[in-house]
Amino acid sequence: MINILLVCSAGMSTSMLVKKMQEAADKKNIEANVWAVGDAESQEESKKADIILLGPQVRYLEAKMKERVDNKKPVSVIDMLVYGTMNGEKALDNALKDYEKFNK
Amino acid sequence: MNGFTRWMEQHFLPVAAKIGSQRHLVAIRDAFIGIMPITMVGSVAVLLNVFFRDLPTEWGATSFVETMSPLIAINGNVWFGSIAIIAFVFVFSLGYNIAKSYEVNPLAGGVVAFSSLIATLPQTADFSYALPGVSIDNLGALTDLGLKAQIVGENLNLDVSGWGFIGLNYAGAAGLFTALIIGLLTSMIYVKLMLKGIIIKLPDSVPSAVNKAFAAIIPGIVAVYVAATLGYLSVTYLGFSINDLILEYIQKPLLGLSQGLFSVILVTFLVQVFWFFGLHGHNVLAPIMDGVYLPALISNTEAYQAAKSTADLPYLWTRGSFDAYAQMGGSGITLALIIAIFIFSKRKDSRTIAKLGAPMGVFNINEPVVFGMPIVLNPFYIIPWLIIPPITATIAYLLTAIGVIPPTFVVVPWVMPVGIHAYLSTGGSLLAGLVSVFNLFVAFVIWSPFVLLANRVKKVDADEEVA
Repeated sequence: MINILLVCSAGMSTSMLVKKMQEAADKKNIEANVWAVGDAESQEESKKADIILLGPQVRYLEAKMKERVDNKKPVSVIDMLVYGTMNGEKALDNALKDYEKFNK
Repeated sequence: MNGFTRWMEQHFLPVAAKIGSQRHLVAIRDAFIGIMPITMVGSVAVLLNVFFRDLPTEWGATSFVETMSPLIAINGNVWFGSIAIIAFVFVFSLGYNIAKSYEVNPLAGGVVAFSSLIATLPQTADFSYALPGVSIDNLGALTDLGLKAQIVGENLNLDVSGWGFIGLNYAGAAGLFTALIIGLLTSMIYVKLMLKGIIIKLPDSVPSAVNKAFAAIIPGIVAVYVAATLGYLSVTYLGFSINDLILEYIQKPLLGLSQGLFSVILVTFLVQVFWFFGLHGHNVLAPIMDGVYLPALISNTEAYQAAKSTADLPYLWTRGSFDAYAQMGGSGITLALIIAIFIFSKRKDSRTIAKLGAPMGVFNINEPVVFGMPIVLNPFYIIPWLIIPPITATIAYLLTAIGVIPPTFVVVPWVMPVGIHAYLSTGGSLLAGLVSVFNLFVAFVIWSPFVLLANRVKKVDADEEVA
């Protein structure tokens, strides 16, 4: 089971991507738990996550987020076009790749 | 263009990133987000009374208003518990968020900030009561009795002062800046002392909840004492409460500055610039958008509640005005772009993005369009992107200034579709709704040529791919 947390400013547009990522994971039989929150709630939620993905519009939070998880968890910014086209499959693939790369 | 983009990425982006993640600014932003339920419920109450009381009264439906009077009274209570005391709610939220950001007990942070603000408030209320039918010759007799009396005009006034009052004008929108400054100051004192470990430590055998409460005691005492002392010094040596000082010398000038057409255009423009670089413009500018334009909105709500009319609202342009007239379908009025693409675009990629973005665009969420087209860092769309919101804001501003449409005075969730947002935020002005739809049309007219141009660009790209 991998816990994927998406963070954007209010958790609105990210929640749409969450749905698509969850669908992609279910289709591929990957056990994943994907959810989204706004920046305000991200501090608590980041504790439960295995990987944190930032919406491209809040990419300036990257340094802060990395510091928050003591660099013990991967934090990556979702690719702009993947985000814009709401490509759940690609976003999930990238997340899994980043997760593996980080834990290698 | 590339050189410019690179230069901006090197020099402008880091600054934006710093603002967007600066701890205190983020805490202020989150504090405003935190009080949303309260601003919202108060606005609902004001809005309901517009439809239950004000509009029917205007139309002469007095019997309807009478039937509705219990509901109207309940709405009044809701308003009293929300908008009327917004500064109190805000200061708690601010203390909470600051403490949370530094990872010290947030509840104590909120409580300390709240208590500190109250400690700066004047506690006495003075009344001057004209004694009816008492001649001014009796002044001496009254003062001999030990009563405070004075001659005001033709009347003899009895002065009464009582202790134990909190003035509502310090608790509402007029007190927001004081809440912000005192809240920031005292919660930082609390946080710093906590982090320095100047706390009472109990043995580990004590339950952690008790330990937590004890830990906050010394930092809390210092913070509230600082606020109370400042309040005392201000009244004793300057003759004003801190709240009046801040209101007069900081809040009013800032709000006044924000009301010029130039300021409105500048803020609208900057939101677009940030978004062009893919950064959430409203978030980065939240200290201005929420810190300055939200108090203006709430002041308008209060003024409407007091006067029951939109004739003399203090502020022309508020936080809600941006959403109502310059951000339909999201920043850049991309709803108009989506419509233009449906009508004119021959590009498959654009049409796909438009289709994907349309359902969200109706509710003013436009990340698919901004990142999908993409508009971010795309020199092709930069002109309409940067000019449309300032133009539509100007239209709405001028129409408000000459009194065609009332200023916005109701807090409305930003996800309200075009037209409806403006209609509700102006307390049911049909004209305001129409202006916002007209602005959508203006945006459509400006977007369209660029969509048509994009049809041709596609061919060039295709040729290049072949070559």
